Amino acid sequence: MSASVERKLWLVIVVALAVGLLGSVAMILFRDFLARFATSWG
Amino acid sequence: MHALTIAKVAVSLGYAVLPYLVIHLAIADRDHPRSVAGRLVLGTVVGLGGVVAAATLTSAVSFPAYLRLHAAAGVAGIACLVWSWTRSSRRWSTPLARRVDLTVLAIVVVAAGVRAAPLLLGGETLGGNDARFHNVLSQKILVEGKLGETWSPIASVPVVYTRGVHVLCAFIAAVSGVSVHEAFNALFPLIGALNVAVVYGIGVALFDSRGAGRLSAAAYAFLPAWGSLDYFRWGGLPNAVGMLLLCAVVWILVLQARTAPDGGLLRQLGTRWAWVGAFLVAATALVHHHSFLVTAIVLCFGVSFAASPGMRAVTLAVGAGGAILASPVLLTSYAAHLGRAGTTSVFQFREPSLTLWDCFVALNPVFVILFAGALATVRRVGWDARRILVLSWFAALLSTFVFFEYVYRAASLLLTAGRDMFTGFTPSRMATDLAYPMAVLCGAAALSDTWRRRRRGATAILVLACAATCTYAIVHQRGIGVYPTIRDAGRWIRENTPPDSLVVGQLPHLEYSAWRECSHPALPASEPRNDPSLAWKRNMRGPAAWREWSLETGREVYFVVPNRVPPPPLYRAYANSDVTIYRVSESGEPRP
Repeated sequence: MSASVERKLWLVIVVALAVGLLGSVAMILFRDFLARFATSWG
Repeated sequence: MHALTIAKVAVSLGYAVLPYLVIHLAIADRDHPRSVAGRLVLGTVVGLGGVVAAATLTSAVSFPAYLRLHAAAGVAGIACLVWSWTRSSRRWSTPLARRVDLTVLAIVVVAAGVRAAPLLLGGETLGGNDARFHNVLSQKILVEGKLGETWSPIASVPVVYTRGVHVLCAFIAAVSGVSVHEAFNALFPLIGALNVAVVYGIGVALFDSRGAGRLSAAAYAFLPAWGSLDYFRWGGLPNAVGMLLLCAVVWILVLQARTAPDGGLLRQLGTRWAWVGAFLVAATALVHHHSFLVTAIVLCFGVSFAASPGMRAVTLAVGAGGAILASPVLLTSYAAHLGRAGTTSVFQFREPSLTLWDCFVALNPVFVILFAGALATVRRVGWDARRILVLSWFAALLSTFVFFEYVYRAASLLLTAGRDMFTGFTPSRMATDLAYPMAVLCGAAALSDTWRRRRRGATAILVLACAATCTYAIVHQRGIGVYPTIRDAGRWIRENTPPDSLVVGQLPHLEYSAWRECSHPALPASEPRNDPSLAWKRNMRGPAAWREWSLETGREVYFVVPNRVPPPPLYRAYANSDVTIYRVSESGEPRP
């Protein structure tokens, strides 16, 4: 049970990191476009 | 801030926690933690939950009543302890470790010192960004003698925010004589030290090694900015307390998974520890909405990815028990405000976007690299049910952060056809909370062959990295919230203007200092800050519009303007070196 759960958990982490990486790259590539939405906290 | 102020707050915090600590020691199961220090630390966190819960619920009716009840709680605690000791079956069943780990004690003391340094070196501070509204909520309790329904006097909308920490600040201010902002800011080093001690406790329980616990504690205390060293910068005391309670819950789960008898949910619900954990979960609901949400997500992950039936049962028992205990508070808190959800920023929150690189830097590259190395070590020593629970804590925060920071933002952009972009539930705080599970798992690095072979070198590198990070944190946070001229201007308004005056201006901590209705009150995302009763003030343009409003309502209006901007053509009522106050109802030449 432990090994199977561990694999699933790592899958969640890897998918989250992959999505985060894609999102980060998109934020950098479209920095100028996204700047129009840049706001301070609030 | 003077060191004596921090000492007063520390003693008052001890007085606040003591009755519930004693009650906990008297009635909790005696099977763990196995050391006197461990029991005192866990008991202190439970005591903190106790005072927050009792003071918040009583102060909904009367705060002065709680001040009297607290002494009664102390007597009840002592009676419980005496009763407990007179029953032979309730005495310590196993001998306890009495020796204190001096290394970790030093880490805890230095951690408190590092967090106190910006306060001691930077002058009289009102606090970081969020302290603007936290101070108002605490002061309201002192002024009104109860929690209060609305944000008056600074705004006329209802309060949705949790008030556990604010009641604690008001309590400390009432018993020690310090002001609420001093109590609020002095709690950062004290709560930070407690967080370090709890992280150590989890590390030791998780890896059955004091060395691992020490490394977990040191990594948490001195490396990450987010979730550790920079709480004072943004005024995140409720988050720090909420995470402290969550850490204590995880500590109980880790300990319970090792010692509790196997059994299903009902059997676990029959144990006292499950209810202590459930109580801490419920206390989180009184301290910080966001931390409660995070706790719920972490427990859901813990149940979903439990690696043994026993771990699943104990996690489910704590979560279900917490939901049962918190449900009356949640129903009364949220049900009345559901209709106003659209006027809050919970689902449409605008904060600067974050890349993973930003998180890597803010969490500290050394910390993240140590964490990655520790994960490799855990893979070697084995992922048992307890360690998988902590990994699921990390996975829960990471995936929730990624969802709200990237998926939610992208969805908002698509749904508004590229016209708007926002996020929800403040994902940056979820990244902030990552520091806790990462620090706990960092402890595994102490079990690696590399660490053992090159212990001195590795320790020296770590100490250097910690020293550099802490120095930066102290220098960076020194002087935050130090606004003597704004305080003086606010004091002038408080002492020289009618209570129904309206203050126009956006200077930090102006609301708290002036104690008047403000045009731009700092309200958290959970509050109805887009309510029409507030929004119109933000849309007023220029002195003429305000003069007309003043004539219509008969209320005085004051502009509070920094001296660096061109002066408006208004009557100057007060000025100091940085700030000038203009009265809108009178025009003419500035006062000489």
